[in-house]
Amino acid sequence: MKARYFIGGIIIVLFLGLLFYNFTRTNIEYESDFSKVMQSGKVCKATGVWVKEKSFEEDIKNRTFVFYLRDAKNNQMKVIYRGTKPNNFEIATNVVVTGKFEDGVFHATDVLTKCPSKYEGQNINTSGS
Amino acid sequence: MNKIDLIVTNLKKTFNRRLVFDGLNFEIKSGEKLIITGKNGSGKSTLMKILAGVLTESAGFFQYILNDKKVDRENIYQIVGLVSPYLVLYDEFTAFENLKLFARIRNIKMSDEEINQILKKVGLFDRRNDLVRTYSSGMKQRIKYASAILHNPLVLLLDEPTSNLDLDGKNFVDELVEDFRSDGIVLVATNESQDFKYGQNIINLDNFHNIQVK
Amino acid sequence: MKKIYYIFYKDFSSELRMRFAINALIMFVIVAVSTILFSLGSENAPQNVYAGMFWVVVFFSAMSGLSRTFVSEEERGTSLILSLIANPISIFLGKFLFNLVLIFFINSIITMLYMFLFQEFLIKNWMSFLLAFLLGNFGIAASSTIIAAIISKANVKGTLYPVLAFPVLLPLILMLIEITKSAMEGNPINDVEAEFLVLVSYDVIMITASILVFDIIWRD
Repeated sequence: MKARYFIGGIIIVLFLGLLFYNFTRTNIEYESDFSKVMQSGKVCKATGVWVKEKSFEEDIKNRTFVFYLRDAKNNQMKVIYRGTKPNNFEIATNVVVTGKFEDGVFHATDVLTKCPSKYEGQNINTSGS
Repeated sequence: MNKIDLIVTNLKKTFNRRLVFDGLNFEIKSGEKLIITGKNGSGKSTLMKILAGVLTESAGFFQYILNDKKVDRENIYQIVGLVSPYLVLYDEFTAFENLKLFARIRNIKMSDEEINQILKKVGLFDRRNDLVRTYSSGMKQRIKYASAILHNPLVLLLDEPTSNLDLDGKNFVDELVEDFRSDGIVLVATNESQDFKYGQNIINLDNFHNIQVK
Repeated sequence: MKKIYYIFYKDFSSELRMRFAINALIMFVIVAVSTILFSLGSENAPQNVYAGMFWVVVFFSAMSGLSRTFVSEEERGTSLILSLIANPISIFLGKFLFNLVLIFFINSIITMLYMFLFQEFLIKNWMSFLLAFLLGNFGIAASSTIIAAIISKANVKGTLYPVLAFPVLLPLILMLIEITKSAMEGNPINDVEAEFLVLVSYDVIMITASILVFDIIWRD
């Protein structure tokens, strides 16, 4: 009887550790370094800046949207998003793409744009009033 | 020939904060028969359930000793047969199906013939293929006896053994207790003075439940 | 082993005669799925919504059906005879086996209904989905069985089940939705390796913990 609780306890503790360890791994991580994104091949949220010079291609018929992103170290990667171009894409200061890097392209399932705030720049002036 | 002992020391049971009995001590050996009596609510049925291993005591302890070996709490069910008013059989099955299932779940080999034998013994053979749902209360009491003696137990716990039984049924109980295996134990919880003939000693639970008042 | 099987067999033949759980389960599934169907109309929702809705229906049907095994035993007063003929572990495993068969049956029906009624519910990686299906059903059966045992001894049977089941089943459902999403996108199985390891750990923990605590619950 005692042995049963002992063995059972050990099993539970062991697998509880495994559960929590893997549970933390299931959250999709933010990654701002594209070299890591390209190497890992795992699903992540890559943050970068749109490369304006290379523009973008939009295929409305097949619902795909292709553009280039670059990170702080000036690494560039091609992003293919199966969907339509988000609003405010051109004026976005930052783009967050969720997906993974495969066959030299980043396949995004989600694109988020961070736009400059309307109030930016006004803050300093109005702070005194 | 087996040797079975039941030792009960300082047994106590409370339901929430209500004390049922406390400081219960007794000991019975193979071949002995004991009557347990007491007012309504004195804990006769509770004691029976505890000794059958289906209810946990609050304090103290009891132990079956079979051939000088302690019987594990988990295995009490193998040596005990209980007849109790609280017992309800599966009423969507027939008497025969119930017994057959019990034999299979207990993992004892029993032919249909042997099961029929037991049904004949309790006087239900003619109605063996009727659903238990259609049984009268007396017949239900009889099928409880069949399920209690199915595995040839060493310990027979009878709670209100003759309730709902007709004269014929009472004679059956008389015979069962009288002819019960000589190495076994019988405990009978009852208030009927005519049932007192089943055992040699009597324990009155009334003496064990007003020791302390919380 | 045989004892476990015959306790399962008892519940199974009882279910065939009385239909305690199966009617309620099938009705629930039909109502839930058709409500989703009508509310969506001809619109196509995103795939991950279907993955979520699939497991929501499974979760609620498990809650409405799997608790019956112990509750009906307790309500009819037959738990006394059951504990007189078998030891607690066999009882638990027998009931677990019954719930496992029941959830597999119901879940297969739900899967077929979804595939038939929603074109968007398209599994591209069957391997990954089936593995999640297996592990998920095992986990749901294990936790529902022990929760059912707990509430069958409680006084407020009806409301307690979802209250207890939700926090216990939540991590399981979350992982299952993630894996199903990934399977619908056709991602390879090692993409959701972490989720699968969580599922396996969950199943092992649930079944071990249940076996350890069951006899305490069962004997009041």
